[in-house]
Amino acid sequence: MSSLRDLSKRYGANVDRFPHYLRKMFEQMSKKSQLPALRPDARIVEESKRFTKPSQWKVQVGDRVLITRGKLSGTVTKVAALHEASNRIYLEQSETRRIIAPQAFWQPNQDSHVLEYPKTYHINDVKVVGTIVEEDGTERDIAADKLVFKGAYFDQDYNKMMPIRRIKYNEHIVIPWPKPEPVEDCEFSTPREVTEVRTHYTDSIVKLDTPEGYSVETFRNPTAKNWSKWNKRYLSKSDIKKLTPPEMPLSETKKAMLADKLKIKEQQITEMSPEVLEFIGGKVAQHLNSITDPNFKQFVDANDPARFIAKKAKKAEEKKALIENNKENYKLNEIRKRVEQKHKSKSVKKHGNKIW
Amino acid sequence: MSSKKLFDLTAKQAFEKLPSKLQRFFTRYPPAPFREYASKQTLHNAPDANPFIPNKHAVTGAVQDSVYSLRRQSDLYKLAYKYGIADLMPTLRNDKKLFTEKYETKPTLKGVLRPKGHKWERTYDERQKQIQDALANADNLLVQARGSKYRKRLERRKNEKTTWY
Repeated sequence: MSSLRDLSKRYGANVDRFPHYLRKMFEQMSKKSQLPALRPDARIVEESKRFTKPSQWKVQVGDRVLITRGKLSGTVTKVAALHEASNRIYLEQSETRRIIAPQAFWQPNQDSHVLEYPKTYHINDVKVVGTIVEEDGTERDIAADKLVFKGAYFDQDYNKMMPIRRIKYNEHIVIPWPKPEPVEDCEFSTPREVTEVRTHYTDSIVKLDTPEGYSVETFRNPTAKNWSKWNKRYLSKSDIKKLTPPEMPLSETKKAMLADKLKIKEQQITEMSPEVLEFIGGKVAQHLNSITDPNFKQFVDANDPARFIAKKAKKAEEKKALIENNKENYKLNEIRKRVEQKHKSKSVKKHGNKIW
Repeated sequence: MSSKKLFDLTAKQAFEKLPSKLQRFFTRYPPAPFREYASKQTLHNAPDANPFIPNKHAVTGAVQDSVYSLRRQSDLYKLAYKYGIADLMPTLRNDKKLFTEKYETKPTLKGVLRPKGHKWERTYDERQKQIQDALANADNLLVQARGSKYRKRLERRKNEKTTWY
């Protein structure tokens, strides 16, 4: 069966492999095939774009929020659940849509097919509500327009690091995360006290605790067809070359090679003798003096190295001028700063240090 | 096109008109009367080592890449060709030829010299001869099949054949 399973992975339709527009089409097809009651009211977000951090969600279950959009805008309610598939949230008091639920999905005491089902809300359509205590001890609710997450702390209730939720531009105001509902242990769960008891002590620092015949190799599949890159049975020539450190100082062969290269480089001719120049130049002159095509003359002039040298010199000159100019500007700026400083100190003496 | 002279250069001026790529090449590798270049693979440190051909290392015996790659040597050759000094270059790798020389030295293909043709073209003459032979032998065959009566009829027809005279 495993081979069939692998085949289905390889040749089966994987929606993630298709481009986004085709993916959308498949989504719509699958949506059509579902019962209307089971269709989600918001678009399903692809897995890579789903929220994973509290700072992305901005709210957690139990948070008080102010609805800012729709018929219920202005009401304060609580977050009932996070709908992870669509990056949206369910609220305790929210707009509903009417669905026709098949009998299999009926709740206890339900006697009609028609059911009011809560709609999801986007994070941007709610504002988190917090309370601040005034100086005289009275409490006041505030809704955060924008949030910012700075710093983190270990939350005992969530049992993980949580970012500190602050109000943007008033970062001293912290809106704490709501307390999650405690998870009740089932009959199979191990009590916390039991997990924290230390059951193993090492007897000796010389002797290893690991059982006899144990090695990392024992964990690997000895009958594996494809040995991993890091677990090779045979090392190739290039592998050995990579694994062995270079010899220091340079080996004799390498020294000989470098000396040979240097010798060849020294033998290379760097300056042309006048006879050779005369010989080649004569041939070129004979050829160029005989041409009558103006297009060819244009080609020769365009490829004249003297032209490139002049161009290069001009560019260098421009660069030099620019640097000079910058220096001058810098000096002027220095003077302006000094004058402004002087003027400022005068006005401060006269009117005091006023900003407006 | 006017036949006016466009350049009037001395040897030194003409050399300075060459693109720097070519100048550099001919400085490093002076042309034939001053230095000879092998047209085949040599040792890398041989005095006549050709920079366009992959040569053998004298000690290790490994074949090194040529100093100028195939593309670079072609580029150099084409440039030199434009300035009329292509014949001063060492032989290119694999005896590479360019421009008119390439087309002149191309061996004529077998198919061009003696085209194979279709099967009906190749067997045409043979089949025609077969048909002619069969036609010439047709009367004999008929006589064999139909007997002496037919032979007599044939002879009679031959005798009774009217002529214009």
